[in-house]
Amino acid sequence: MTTPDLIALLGFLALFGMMALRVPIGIAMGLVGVFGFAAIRGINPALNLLATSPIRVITDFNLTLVSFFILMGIFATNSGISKELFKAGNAWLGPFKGGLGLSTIAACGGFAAICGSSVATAATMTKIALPEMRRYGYREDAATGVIAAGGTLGILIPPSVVMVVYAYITETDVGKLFIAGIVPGLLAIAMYMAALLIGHRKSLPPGTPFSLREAMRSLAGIWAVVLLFVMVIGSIYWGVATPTEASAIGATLTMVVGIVRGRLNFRQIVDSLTEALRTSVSVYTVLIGAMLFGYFLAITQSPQKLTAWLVALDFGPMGTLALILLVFIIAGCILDSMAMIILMVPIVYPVIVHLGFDPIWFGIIIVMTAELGLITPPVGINVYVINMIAKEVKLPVIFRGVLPFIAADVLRLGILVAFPAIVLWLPRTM
Amino acid sequence: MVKILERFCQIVEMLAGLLLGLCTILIVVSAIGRYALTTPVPDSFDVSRLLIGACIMWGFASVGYRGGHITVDLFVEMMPERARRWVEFLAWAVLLLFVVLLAWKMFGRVDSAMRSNESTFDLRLPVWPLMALIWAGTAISILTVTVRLFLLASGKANPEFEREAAQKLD
Repeated sequence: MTTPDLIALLGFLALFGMMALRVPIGIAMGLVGVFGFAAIRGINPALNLLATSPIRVITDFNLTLVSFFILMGIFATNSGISKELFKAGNAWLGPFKGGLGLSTIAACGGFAAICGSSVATAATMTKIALPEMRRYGYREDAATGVIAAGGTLGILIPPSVVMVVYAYITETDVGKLFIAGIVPGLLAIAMYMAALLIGHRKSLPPGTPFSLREAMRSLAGIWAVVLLFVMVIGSIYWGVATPTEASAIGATLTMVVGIVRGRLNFRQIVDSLTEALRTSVSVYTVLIGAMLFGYFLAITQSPQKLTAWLVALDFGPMGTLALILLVFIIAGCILDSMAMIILMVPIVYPVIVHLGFDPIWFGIIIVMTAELGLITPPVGINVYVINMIAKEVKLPVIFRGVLPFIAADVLRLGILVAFPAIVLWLPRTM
Repeated sequence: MVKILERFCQIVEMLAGLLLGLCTILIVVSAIGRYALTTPVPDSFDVSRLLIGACIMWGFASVGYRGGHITVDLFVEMMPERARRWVEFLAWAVLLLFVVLLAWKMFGRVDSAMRSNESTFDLRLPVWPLMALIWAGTAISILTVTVRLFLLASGKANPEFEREAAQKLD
């Protein structure tokens, strides 16, 4: 083992040690990056990284859309847009068996189209859909499971903060990545509905009578979602605005819609801005750490060595991909999805490129593994969020409820790995 | 002291949040100006990115006190309360080390921007005042993280405080 290899090994051990001791992930990555670099190149060049890199990250114009999409999601959550979505979903899907559950999935998909956060999607839908499902006699596991799974759509259907971060660290086109998420997002909605109807079939109550008049009237309530989606994702697709401009327009329009509907006052706007700031700070901290850690990876040539090692194993592209995805799925059970992507993508990305996989397609696949991590034990954050809001529903009950949806996720992952065209055809029309 | 710092963090977050809102509107106005009137707001690119940088670092100072960074909680939550407090102290001490190094080296970047007359693209305004604003947020972080560390050491910190401030990101 050469000295850089030994330093790389010690660096990774120090990183995991610090992370286990609850050192903020960005800070742990940053310190390992600086001191690891110092061990090879000397302390002064390493410390100089701190003079330039963090300020470059926080003043990077292309990253400002992280804050704007976070803000858009928070405005959407605080202005209660999800209520109309649920109402419309219920008006159309309510007559079917398990109609309220199907409506919840549809509403989650609709809300995901204007909010890039899975946790926010799950939290907002818990408050709206759970009391309704309880009223109609849904079992707790089915009701909470469908919300936890539906919430994961937040990071798959554009806009998505996780996709922005993936695009930044891999230098892929964020616009194409967003558009690539649409078809897998629709597939996810369909498969989650199927998972609900098959996996929870014995406990689902019958539907309610259908009223065409009410169904048509419910569509009028969702104009804001359609307008925001078309303005943001449509403008990116048609090349009318850059993703950064689209994100700023989206955040501003969501605020305006909230004000016009009388659901956002000055205090709520200030609170939303403060919340967006705090969330942005934690994302930027991990990005600063990732940038510094990237220098350490580059100087130790760890990704290149990993590539050579994996290629030498001779599993073939699909075998190697399966191995990488397995590691991501396991990591997703323990790590925050954002942190997992920022920490692990720079290490495996060269392998993916070397094996000839499409970076946009891989981005969607990785977001899907992150989705799985949101509902799998022991750290399924969506499950914890639902448990925080509905304390009387125990964690094992929610985890039992998400099992059919986990099966649907794994099946969907397999379908998209086998047929990359499902992901790639829409961005290729741009 | 604790009350003063909590109030200070609230005010900083509110001002930085409002600044974030202003940057959002600045980019929207500039985009409308560019597409509709073929006249973008001069320096909207440089001013917005530097101001967002300042928002982030002042927010970082507040988060340094209140908590809310992305962490791995799984292992610490399995520890007894006493051990957990020491681990929290250690984590904050590591954060302090990083912040001190960052403030020290970032000052050099501000100094170099001032000496080299680094300026904005359109109006040729000096960028160092905005960089100094970013640096000031980093420097204030040393204070906020130190106070938090002191509270943890003296057992006066609310152990649930940081968990409550944990961000909802995914």
